[in-house]
Amino acid sequence: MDDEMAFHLDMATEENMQKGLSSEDARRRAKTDFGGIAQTKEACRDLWILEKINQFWKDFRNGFRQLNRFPSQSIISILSLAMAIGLFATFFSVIDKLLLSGMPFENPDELYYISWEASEGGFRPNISLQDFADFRKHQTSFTDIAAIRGAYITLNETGEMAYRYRSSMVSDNFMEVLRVKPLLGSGFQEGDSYSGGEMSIILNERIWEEQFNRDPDIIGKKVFTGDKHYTVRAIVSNSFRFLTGAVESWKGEIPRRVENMPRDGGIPTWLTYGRLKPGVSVDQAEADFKAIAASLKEQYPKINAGRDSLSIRPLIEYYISDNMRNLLVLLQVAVLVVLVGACINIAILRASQAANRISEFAARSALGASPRQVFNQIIIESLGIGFLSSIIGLSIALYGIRGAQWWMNNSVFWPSEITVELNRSALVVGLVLGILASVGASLLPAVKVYSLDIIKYLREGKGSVSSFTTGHLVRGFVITQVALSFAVLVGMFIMLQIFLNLNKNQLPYDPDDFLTAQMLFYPTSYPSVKERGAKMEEVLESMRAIPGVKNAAMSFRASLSNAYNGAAIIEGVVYQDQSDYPSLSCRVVTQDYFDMLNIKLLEGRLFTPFDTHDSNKVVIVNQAMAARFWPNESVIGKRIKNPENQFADEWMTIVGVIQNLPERGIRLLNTDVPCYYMLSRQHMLALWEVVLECTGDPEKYAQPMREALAKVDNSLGLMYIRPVKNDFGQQAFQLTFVTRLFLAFGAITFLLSLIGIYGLFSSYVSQRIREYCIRYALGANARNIWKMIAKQGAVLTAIGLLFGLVSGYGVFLLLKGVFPLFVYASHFYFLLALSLVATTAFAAIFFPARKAVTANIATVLRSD
Amino acid sequence: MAGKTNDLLQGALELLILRTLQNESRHGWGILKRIEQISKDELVIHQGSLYPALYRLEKNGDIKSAFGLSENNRKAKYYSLTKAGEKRLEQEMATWGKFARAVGLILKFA
Repeated sequence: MDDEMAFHLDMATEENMQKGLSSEDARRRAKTDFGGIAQTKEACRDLWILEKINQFWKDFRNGFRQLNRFPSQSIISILSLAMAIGLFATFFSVIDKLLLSGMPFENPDELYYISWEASEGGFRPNISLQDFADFRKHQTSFTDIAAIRGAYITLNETGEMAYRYRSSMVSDNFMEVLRVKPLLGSGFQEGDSYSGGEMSIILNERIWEEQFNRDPDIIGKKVFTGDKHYTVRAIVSNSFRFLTGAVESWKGEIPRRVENMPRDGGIPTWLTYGRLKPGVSVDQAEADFKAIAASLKEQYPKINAGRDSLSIRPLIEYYISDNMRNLLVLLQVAVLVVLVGACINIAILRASQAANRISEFAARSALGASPRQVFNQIIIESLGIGFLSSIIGLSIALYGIRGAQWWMNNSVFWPSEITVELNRSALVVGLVLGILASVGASLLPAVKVYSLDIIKYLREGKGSVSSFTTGHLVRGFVITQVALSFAVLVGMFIMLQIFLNLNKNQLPYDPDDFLTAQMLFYPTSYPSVKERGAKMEEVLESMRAIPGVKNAAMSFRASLSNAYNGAAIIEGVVYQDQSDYPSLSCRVVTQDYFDMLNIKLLEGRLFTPFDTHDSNKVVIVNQAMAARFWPNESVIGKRIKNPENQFADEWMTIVGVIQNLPERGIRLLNTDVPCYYMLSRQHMLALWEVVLECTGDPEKYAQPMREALAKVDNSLGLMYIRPVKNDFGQQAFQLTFVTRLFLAFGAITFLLSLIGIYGLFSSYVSQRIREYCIRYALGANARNIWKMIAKQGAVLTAIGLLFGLVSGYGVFLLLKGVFPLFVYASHFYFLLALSLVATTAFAAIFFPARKAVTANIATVLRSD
Repeated sequence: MAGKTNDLLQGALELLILRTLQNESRHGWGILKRIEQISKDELVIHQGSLYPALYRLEKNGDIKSAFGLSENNRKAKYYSLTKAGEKRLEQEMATWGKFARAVGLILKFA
């Protein structure tokens, strides 16, 4: 425009100069004659913009009118794309959080979990306090490292009844590393946990409320926890949890404990974590720690033998096991595949739809629409589909994530420090892919229309437009969809089976019937084996007397879901060193434990009243232990020692063999853990898990349980009362969550496949409707047409099912590999999946076929 | 320029432009000069309104434009009629003829 105006002014100037004006005057005159140059340019520009807007609006309306003209195809396209986008964004967000960092701490991806490298069994030992102190002193890779381990406190501030609360022992910097701000107070103070300084504690809101009636002046007050006085330094919200589960208080114990510890031993029980310095890689940090570990090994060869490699992993991996991570990665890939599949689906649908509408486009061109306008209309239609799908997809994702968060919040099993939110890049990827698929699919027909020779087309008909048929593509994709939906269904059924049978088939008892709580004897209370054994029996009797309680038993330290790790010395085996002792699972239980839990005795006998505190020590082993140490011989009468308890020197005689139980939580792998069971009254132990077998809802027995204990001894508090099923749920929370994710994924994918199959079939049939009508016109009857369509559909479905069978079997093998205990071959899944997919395919053929059969031949052929 | 007609009826400018372009393509300045020349300088187009009219006609598909060299060898934008423009010119000329005749009759006999 500028050039044009400049040319005009030059010409006018030239003319004025010819009339005798000076060049300056001529120019001025030209400008005056022209009027406002700027206004003229503006007016032209306005016209241009207005024109563009009008054009766009026209194309837009046209596009939407077209969407409305083919409602079923439009709905199918929009719905499946929206579902795929929603599924992708939701799953990607949830999984991304689980795989990376879902913890509500500042920059959670900087937090790492430090442990010794995995030993044989895949179990990563934590760090001993002494080693922690050295690492903390010498390391340079983290801004700081902190340590935490589980503990307990007893509080009786109200003076009514002693309450036990779950607590943690922590290093004095534990909140600083997490960058957590308390509700009240400011956290541990300088010098708090050193000798000579104060012992300090952080409480959560619940303790603050229950024990101190929300006293606003609580900070700085001293509380007595059963053995020591602590100064309250801060109150944190109830939702604050970290690593040690539903803990309600945190005692600042490090470095005071380290100062008092000799360097010749150390139990690796401290969970150690740190915040990596910006710019430092994990490899650098590992090298840093390895160097420190090497010097520790040299200094303290006895306790650090074999420990020279450390593992530094993102903190979130502490919650999600490798097994689960692999599954989640698999799921993430599957979700991406589904999204791409849905995009291809839409692409084929749109392409075939555009191909069917080529006459319409030709007609529009003939009526004066420019090729550009027709091109624009096709693109805008696709953009409309992409746009609508995006909005619906976004809503699905938002609700999906809200649903996932709701489930997590309402699950007692879920570590509440893990939260999810919508991952924006996942959403953007979903939206862009969706719109690209939709627009991209229309591009080919649109380009065709652009270069369409209308005269030739109108003269020669459809045949003149080559390579427009998408028949092969549609057939191929029908087959793929059928196969995919079959495989997904098989996977879903297997997951459903896992989900339903999670606790059921491994336990001889129903965990839903049991209530459990912890109880602790102080070293001063009942200091002899005899006294303590008698007191324990008294407590159990008092609990059995609660109306509705069928039985009661105790197990040392360990809940029903998990035995603790213990070594054993087998008589007759020579060990070079302590580290040669086999590491097993073990329990110390009261006499009735096996009866109450319905555990099957396979050989010998259970504990009897004749096994007393001063009789020969007895032990019962499980089948896995018998098979491992005494294969092909009777184990009764064999002897073992437990090198870790106070009677380490006394041999215990094996009196019975019982069935294997999942002593390390619900098993995912087909490995039975060797375990041995000692008798409670022959050992002097402090922390007991009291288990009640109840009639009806176990949770209602919590208060009666407290009262029953108070009757025997008011100083013994019960803590952490919870239904046993929670422990199993906690154990299996990852599995429960992943199976649910898989189920949701399966359901949505199956639905998408159904929509896809229907859409593809209907597009396949509608592409051939002209052919059917010509056959009709040539004398075929409705029956022939039905038969023809049904045959074509059946062939495609059969081929799809064949591929489906193969891929379904692949899914079965894959899941069997991951969950060998839960997945067993069943023809039932395959038959059910087969009949479901076949029915769907039949429905998908039926409706388009009916449309074809009932089509008005004259209309179809005329419109062609 | 007293006494010269420069208030064209709305739509008339577009008709004049189309007619000017009927036989050969011209640039904006050329169109202006041609109208002045034929009307013996009686019709003077307001130069500022010529270009919006040209844009309107172009967007409407009545004329199309292409760059070429002017008589003094300068780059200039040349306009020419499209088929739609030819058709429109024909219609508009007929309408204008009827209109002019009707107005003439009224002025003469009323």
